[in-house]
Amino acid sequence: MGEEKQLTEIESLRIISEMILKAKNEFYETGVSALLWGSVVSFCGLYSFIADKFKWPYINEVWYLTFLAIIPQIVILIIEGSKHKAKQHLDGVGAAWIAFAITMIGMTMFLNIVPHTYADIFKAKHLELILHNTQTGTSEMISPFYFKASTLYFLVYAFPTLITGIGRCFNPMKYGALICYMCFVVSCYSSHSTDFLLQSIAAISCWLVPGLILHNRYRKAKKANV
Amino acid sequence: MFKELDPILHSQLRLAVMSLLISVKEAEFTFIREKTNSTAGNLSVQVQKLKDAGYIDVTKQFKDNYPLTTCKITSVGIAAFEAYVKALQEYLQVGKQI
Repeated sequence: MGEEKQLTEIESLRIISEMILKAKNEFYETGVSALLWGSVVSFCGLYSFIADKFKWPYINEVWYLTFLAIIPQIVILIIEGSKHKAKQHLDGVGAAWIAFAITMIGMTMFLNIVPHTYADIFKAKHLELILHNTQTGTSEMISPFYFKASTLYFLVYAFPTLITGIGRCFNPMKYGALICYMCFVVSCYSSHSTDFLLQSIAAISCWLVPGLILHNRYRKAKKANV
Repeated sequence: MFKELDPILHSQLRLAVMSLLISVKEAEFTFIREKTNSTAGNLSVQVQKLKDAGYIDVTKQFKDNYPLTTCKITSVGIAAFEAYVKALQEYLQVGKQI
């Protein structure tokens, strides 16, 4: 584009649509990340299945490969990011993948922390979990795994809140999701009764406060239009 | 009564720059130059005008010992761009009726 000239309305619209299209075409999905995770997780699943059938070793350890795959994933992100001379807006789709990654990390934390938390709680109360076979009548003590579903609810609460916060550039919901993730971490280490208080905090930060802000904006907009 | 089209935006290169920047989070100067097929000198002048109007933020830094200029649209710029597009639509709507 050279020197300035007087534009017509049609020309203006043509420039706008042409430039938006050029910017849109700059960004493309290489699919490398999907290939990486698809390969790693399918391999781990298949190996575990075969190992279970044929009594092979490392049936659970093979899943550590998913942690190793984080390294090439970071390298891929850095390489792909350096290729572009422009940065894309983080949209709802990107936000959904971020929420998914946090949920996966949260699930791993849950499965590794909660059993130890409940082992301590049971020990303090002088309780033991026993697995009883009704056919043989034998009993054996099992490592305590109390399925504390209330902890998982925090991950579920935060999921749509984070996506909405990022997708609609609404900071109160981003902070709400962050507080909800903090509640999740605390809940991993606390008893079931504490979760009631945490659920209240999560609901206030995720929905009540953002809801009040949104409603206030709505009332102001309505007043301005009258 | 027609709204007057924003003179800052109603220019070929400045409108192109703003249309690019509204589509991305931020963009390097070279990216804008390539996409608009403009010269560095002309683009610098127009970018400065947009910056003076408060429509864009310009950040200058160094990357691997080379200067790197990055441009980003501001909230004032977004509002101005939206108002410009709305005014254009009104003009075209009336044009169709005539």
